[in-house]
Amino acid sequence: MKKLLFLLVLPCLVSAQNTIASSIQNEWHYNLETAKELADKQEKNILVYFTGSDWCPPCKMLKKDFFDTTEFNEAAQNYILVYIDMPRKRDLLSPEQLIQNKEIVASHNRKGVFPLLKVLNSKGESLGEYSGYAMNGDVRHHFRLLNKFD
Amino acid sequence: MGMIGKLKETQQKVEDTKKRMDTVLIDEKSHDGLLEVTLTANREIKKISIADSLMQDKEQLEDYLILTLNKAIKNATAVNETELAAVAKEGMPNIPGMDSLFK
Repeated sequence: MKKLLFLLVLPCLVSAQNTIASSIQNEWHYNLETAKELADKQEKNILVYFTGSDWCPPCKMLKKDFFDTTEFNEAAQNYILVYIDMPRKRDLLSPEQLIQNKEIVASHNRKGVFPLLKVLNSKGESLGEYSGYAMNGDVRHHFRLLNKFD
Repeated sequence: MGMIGKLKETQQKVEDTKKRMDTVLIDEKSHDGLLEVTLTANREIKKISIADSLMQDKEQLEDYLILTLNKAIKNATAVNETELAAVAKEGMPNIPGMDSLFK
């Protein structure tokens, strides 16, 4: 009877564990200056993600294969996350956000490439970066960058 | 906007997309990861990274380059064509049978 009860309860336990794991969500910031202050207070580095959310195919794939995973959410706990979007449809952003994003691209993504992951310290100095994606689910390089500075 | 205006607008969007494809980076690597290349979606090679062990064998390196670059070019071409077709399709008038041109 106990075994039967255990077998009945087991799926619920597994499901609950998955729910807890997937509920770890990191907060994305859209202002680099705010992120620097937080990084300084919390003694963390900053992970800036440059994307073209509505036109860059590798960026769209990277969202699914990397950013939306439990592994990313866990690895990114030690970072302040900043999302810099340069969408084709400019009205997806407020005019102020668009100006700010252009400035950050000009200063931190000088080659203007997408997707780009960049790690900064709390002073905004670059520690490392990784650009591009093969669109095949292999995100080892992206995790390597994250794990290098956490 | 008239049809001519709409076509001009679409033409401009296609040109903008072509330029934007210069900024999209696509990685590819050999099956064992010894050779890695990065191309733009406009098929311009941006980076080639070769492991030291591959440098010992010229023929093997040549084979790796051919295979990996061809794979990368194929991927980049697919991205490029898909994006350009999407933009062109957005701007085209709704003519029956036209859809098949962009598939």
